[in-house]
Amino acid sequence: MRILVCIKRVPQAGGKLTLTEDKLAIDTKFLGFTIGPHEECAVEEAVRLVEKFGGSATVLTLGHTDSVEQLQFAMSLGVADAILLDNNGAEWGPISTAGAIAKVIEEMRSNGDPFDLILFGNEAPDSGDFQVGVRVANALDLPLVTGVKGIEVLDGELVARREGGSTVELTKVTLPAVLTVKEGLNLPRYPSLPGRLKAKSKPIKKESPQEKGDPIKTVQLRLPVEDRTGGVLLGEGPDAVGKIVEVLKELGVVAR
Amino acid sequence: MILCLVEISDDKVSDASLSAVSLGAKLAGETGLSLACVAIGEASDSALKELGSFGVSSLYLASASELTPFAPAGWAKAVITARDESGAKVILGGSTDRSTEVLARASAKLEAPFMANCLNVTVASGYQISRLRWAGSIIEDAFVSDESVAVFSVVQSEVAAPSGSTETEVQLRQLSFEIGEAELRDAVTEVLLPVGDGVSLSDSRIVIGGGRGVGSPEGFKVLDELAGILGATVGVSRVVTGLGWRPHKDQIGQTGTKIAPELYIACGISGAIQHMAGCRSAKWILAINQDRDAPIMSLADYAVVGDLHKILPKLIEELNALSAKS
Repeated sequence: MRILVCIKRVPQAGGKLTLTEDKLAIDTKFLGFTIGPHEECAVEEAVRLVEKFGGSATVLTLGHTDSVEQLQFAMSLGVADAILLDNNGAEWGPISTAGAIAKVIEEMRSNGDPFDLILFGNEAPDSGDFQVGVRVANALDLPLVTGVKGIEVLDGELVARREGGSTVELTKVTLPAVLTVKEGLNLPRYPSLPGRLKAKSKPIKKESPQEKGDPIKTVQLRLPVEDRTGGVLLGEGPDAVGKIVEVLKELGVVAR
Repeated sequence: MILCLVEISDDKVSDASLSAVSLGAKLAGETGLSLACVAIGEASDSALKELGSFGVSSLYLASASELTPFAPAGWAKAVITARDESGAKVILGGSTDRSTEVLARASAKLEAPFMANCLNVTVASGYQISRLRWAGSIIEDAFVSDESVAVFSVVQSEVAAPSGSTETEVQLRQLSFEIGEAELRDAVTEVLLPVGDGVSLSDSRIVIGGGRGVGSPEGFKVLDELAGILGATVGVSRVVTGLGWRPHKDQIGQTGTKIAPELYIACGISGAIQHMAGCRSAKWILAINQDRDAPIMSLADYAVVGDLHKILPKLIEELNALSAKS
């Protein structure tokens, strides 16, 4: 199987986010960078499918050359090579991003290197646009399943499992296909030391993509008004248990 | 014309869709345009009445059986066909997984911009929008230039019942379009009922959360025991599933389950923004954490500083004594 995984370098945020002075971006001065949880699962799944069926996986990103860090992370897990669509770190919208990705895939196909499976995260953790994978599938006229949490491949067909409310839905598609996946698809492995060393010598192909242009312009970012203002410190250690029981009674969780 | 994709099930328009219809009604009021909806499947009289109360003038309905339970490419074609017939410039929908996918597919086909998770949209020689980023930790105000068609998904909120007597008669318009291989090649082929194991995390009235502070898979015994006493469900933070202590289906947060219980008891959970994105709809939060400076301690309604493995056993003891008394 020939598999492409598309990832995005994003700030590794856990605590409260702060904004830059012009309010147009997240302040990343004190933040590391990573890929989203959905994408970690996409990379893991690509590696597992290659381990099972042979072939190779390629990882792709669009962004700044700093994204080499994330490409090497994916390659340290077993992805063979990488493609960097270097846009010098400009903020591209989903139309431009999907256009550039679809173009590369199309070019590789006509050069005799077609992909059987193209994986995306269901949505990016930062922008949450929910559409780059959808637009790529549309541009390439390929079947698409979103929100995938289980994959089974049999003879050129793929059964994708997703969870909908209280049910589980199965969708059978023929390959090639595009999937956007969600965390829970698998439990991603950690990179090994030999894996990390090997990743440094794996090839990264650089290309300069053309921006189509998205008609959306950020005016400003702001932090939502925190509606949880915090409340009562009931106490410390086991001595606070009496107070906890009182609260549980007050909330009607246990009988008075 | 403003067009709104709605999901109808059990004779009812979903709450997520009503949030979009409500925004559509606001836009219709501001622009003087009329509001139409598009749906797949069947529309009962009660669903039509509900839409009518928001001033919806017509409902485009695609009722071909191949489109159910879910043929996303076919649903997107229904939206596009309704758009072509109505001449709508604005397409709205809820922010469920299904509506989001269908709107994204339709916008890709229409070569139109799609703005997900909008809180508000205002028409102003283009569109001024506010939308959620970082799963709600950031709000972005943005401007979308005037396009021949623009697509928005709307964050679910509590929709106030429309006031006044503006109830309109909703005209039902059957959509007919060709449904071929392109519409069905990635349709849902089978629906399985889940292997039931009690109340799901998202429906639980009381949730007990465990994070890294629980310490080990065995450490959850005390949380499970407390859950048994309170009739609660146990959920976990992402660290816990990442370590393989609990399955992903137990995970609360941005990339896990979003919960909305009466009470959330968060034990040994620091409260990263990704976790809070999944639990901020809890009515009350009680946090137990050794670190008094953990973010969750300043967000919780009630906080206790200390080791959960010392506090929970005593709490269980007291609750058992209490129930023995009564």
